[in-house]
Amino acid sequence: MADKAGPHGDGTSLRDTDPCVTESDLRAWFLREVFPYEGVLMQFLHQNWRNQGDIADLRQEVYVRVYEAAQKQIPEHAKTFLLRTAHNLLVDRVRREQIVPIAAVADLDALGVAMDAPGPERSAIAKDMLRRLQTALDRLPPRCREAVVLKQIDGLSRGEIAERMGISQDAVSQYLSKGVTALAEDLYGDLSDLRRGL
Amino acid sequence: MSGPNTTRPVGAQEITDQAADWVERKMHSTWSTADDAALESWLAEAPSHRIAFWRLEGAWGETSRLAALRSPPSLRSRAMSVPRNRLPVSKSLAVAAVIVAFGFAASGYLAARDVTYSTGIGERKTLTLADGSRIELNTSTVLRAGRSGNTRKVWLDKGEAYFRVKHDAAHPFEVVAADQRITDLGTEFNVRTDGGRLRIAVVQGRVRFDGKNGNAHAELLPGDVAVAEASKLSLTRVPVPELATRLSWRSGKLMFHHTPLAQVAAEFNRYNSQKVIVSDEQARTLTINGTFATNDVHAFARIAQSVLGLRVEDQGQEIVISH
Repeated sequence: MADKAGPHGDGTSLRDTDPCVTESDLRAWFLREVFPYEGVLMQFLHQNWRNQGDIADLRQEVYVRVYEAAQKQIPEHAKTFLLRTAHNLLVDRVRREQIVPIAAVADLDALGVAMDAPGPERSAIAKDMLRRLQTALDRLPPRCREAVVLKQIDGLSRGEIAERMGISQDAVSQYLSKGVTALAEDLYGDLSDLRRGL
Repeated sequence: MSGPNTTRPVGAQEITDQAADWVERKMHSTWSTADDAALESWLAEAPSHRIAFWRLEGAWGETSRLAALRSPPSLRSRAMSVPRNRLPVSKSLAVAAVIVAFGFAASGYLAARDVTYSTGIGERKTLTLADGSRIELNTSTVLRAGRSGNTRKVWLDKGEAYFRVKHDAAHPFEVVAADQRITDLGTEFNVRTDGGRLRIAVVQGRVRFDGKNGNAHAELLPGDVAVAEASKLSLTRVPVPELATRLSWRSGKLMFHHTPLAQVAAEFNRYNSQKVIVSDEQARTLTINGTFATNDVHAFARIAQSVLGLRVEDQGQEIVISH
């Protein structure tokens, strides 16, 4: 799927000399370097944006901006780039919406210090990921967790899961979809120990 | 995750839901090349689709590492009854390799009783217990969770925590703090310890409070704020929305409303290792309003300087505010 897709945006051709960033490069970069910092991003958004109902949309917009920039060239420091993008987005929003909250957006200078601090090493993230997986799985609602475990750990088919849980195949699908979403939220969005990286 | 009220036509939530459906469909053997094409065209519609899909697919892929590691005990017995040959050998091996590579001890999976959780200065953490109850730990907090008989028991040894309890009459949920006992009767509540003083705020449901040596009892309702100190228990009622403001630490914020500087400084000092000192009496009684990030002492210092016209000296370890 995504692996086969070449860069399809024509806009990228303005910079002929630049190496083309393929979709599969981008995907790998997001999985390896960007999503693991989602906890830090979410913390930043939560602390700097009053309306918590906007957070999911803001996160998406940050990712889209990061994606669009990375299509031209993959930034060297993912975490710094992610936070700077988030900061700029909030500043744009504040301007656009003409709200002037006292502490709407953290001081860029103060943020700059934090962003230059070295983040956790990748091996630490990977190690942490395993522990987060444990927690994330534990946190799923019981039926949802059961479906996820039967699928991912026991390798059962949807029909077998339905039979075992005594529910319809559609219900199994619903549990699995919900499980996938909740797991991502927990794995990437959870602050746990990474918060010290901010 | 409330429904987005934004003007954006398709909110992040909907895109995430759609992406989750794709990931789900793709995990089954019924997935076809036609599905592949349909997915590809959905992905090409917008970068946000692509990102949402990668994110969920990535997370789902990570969980394959967990195979064989553990399923919760209740599920494990069921999983065991699955015919052996269903467990793909290659997957188990891959996981074993991961465990070795990370040197990850199994202990984390076994420790089910009396687990200690703590946060450092400025840290915040959310725990979810096996029963689905959630506990949010505020800065500098130490909490133990365990079980005694049928009772789910939590000891708040230090600091502050917000409890969202899945009520279960057969398994009461009890919080012990400063030798006093708080029993949940279907609830959301906050407990803050401060030396020997205990402050309980009930946001939802009901809570029973039992003082030291059974010398005080009270049933607290939403809006009730109880302060227990030595043998004294005082009770005030606060509108629930205002209570939420007081509990703004849960979103990493401090909110002040005509709050004297001395108190503002004390609040900031709970969250930061750089301490604010308001050195003269006159300045201590000035009041401010505003919302700050718990870790942003400097925003507070700036306001003290620019709005109140006070002198602010950053001495590294301390920020001294004076007239």
